[in-house]
Amino acid sequence: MSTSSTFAINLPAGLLDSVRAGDLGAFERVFRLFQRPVYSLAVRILGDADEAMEATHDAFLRMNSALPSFRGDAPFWAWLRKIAVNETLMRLRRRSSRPLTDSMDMDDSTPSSGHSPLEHAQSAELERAMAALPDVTRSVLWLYHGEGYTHDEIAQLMGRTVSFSKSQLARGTQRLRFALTEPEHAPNPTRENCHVSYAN
Amino acid sequence: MSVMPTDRRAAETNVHDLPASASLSHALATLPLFDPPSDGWLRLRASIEKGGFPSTQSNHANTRLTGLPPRPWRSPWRVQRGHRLLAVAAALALAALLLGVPDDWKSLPALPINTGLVSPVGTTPDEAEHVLPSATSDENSQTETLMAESARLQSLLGFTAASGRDAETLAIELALVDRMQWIDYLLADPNATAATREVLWQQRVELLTQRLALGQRDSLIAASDAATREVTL
Repeated sequence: MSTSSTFAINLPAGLLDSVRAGDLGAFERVFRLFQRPVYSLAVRILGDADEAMEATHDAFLRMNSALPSFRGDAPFWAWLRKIAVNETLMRLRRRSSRPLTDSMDMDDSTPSSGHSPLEHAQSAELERAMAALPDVTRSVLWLYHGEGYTHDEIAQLMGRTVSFSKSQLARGTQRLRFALTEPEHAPNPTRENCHVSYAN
Repeated sequence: MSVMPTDRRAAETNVHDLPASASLSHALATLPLFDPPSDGWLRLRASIEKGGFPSTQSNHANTRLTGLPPRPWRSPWRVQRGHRLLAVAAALALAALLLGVPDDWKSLPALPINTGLVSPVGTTPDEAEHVLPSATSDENSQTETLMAESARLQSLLGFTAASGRDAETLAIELALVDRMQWIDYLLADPNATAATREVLWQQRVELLTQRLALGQRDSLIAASDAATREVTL
């Protein structure tokens, strides 16, 4: 299994020094390089374009204010990604009107199939199935599979236990597989907790 | 720091789940990125300038989304739908160009997309040679320079634009045309600010430069193919 994060962009030498020195043009270059990964991460976790835009905005402001403390021990992209994840999850926690635990009733059995439905899932189907998942489940699934975080890291980021991360991942994967295998039984995104209808 | 999942996560993955888990990782990792709103940098710059640069933790809270009006909610689906409409328009414009038909795509009805940008006077690329922005200052001077550069590159494009000989080139060309149409759409917004226009013109120049590079690449490939044929003969 190999995953390459869309954040994994190496910056030209000296660019961060220019940003630290107050060069707005250098900051714009960094912003334009990472804007799409940050925004896409936020959309996938929050499921809301407007909130994702604000999270992106705040993540870059946070990056700017925290840059003096960046020592370069880790790649810049990993550091920025963590800021973006924190910013996004913070917004998720603020959602008081939405449940942070999943509540969907569903048969625990997984439909048998001769081949993995995931292998044949079209992007749009996958997007729809992801959008239909509860916020937290979707976040864990994305952080684990989409960004390559470990359960330990996810537990830290979300302020939960490792077993919580594992159970959310297992349940989310099962639901996703079920939704992709039996689309007519897929949860209805309008009934569930997401704002967004993903692209067709 | 997080690293890629392969080794570190092997211990925490059930062996029986690996094939499905791997294909899900692959499927999720290859999902396309979303296109963020085009005014993201303008908003961020406004916040930074308002709060000073480099900003500090203390002014972070005060600089959040200031300087520009709140944008209406727009779901990624609606963004994608808008892009699809623009892609169709772009494809029609390109087809018209290739067929030698005068391009009258601008007579199409306005696209049902709220750009979320506000303020005075807009100048479209076609008007650029005749109408200059009414506002003054260095910003306008810079915009005028960009307009001139845009016109120069556009004229060069007629000689070197990619001919779409292969599907890859055509797809890239269409994507670039799509983005240019989007920028032209935003430039036509009568409420676009001088600062917004300057950024949009800058992006237009960059896109034209990319299209020229694509045309040059196409020419090089054609020349290489011709040379190969000669050697073979």
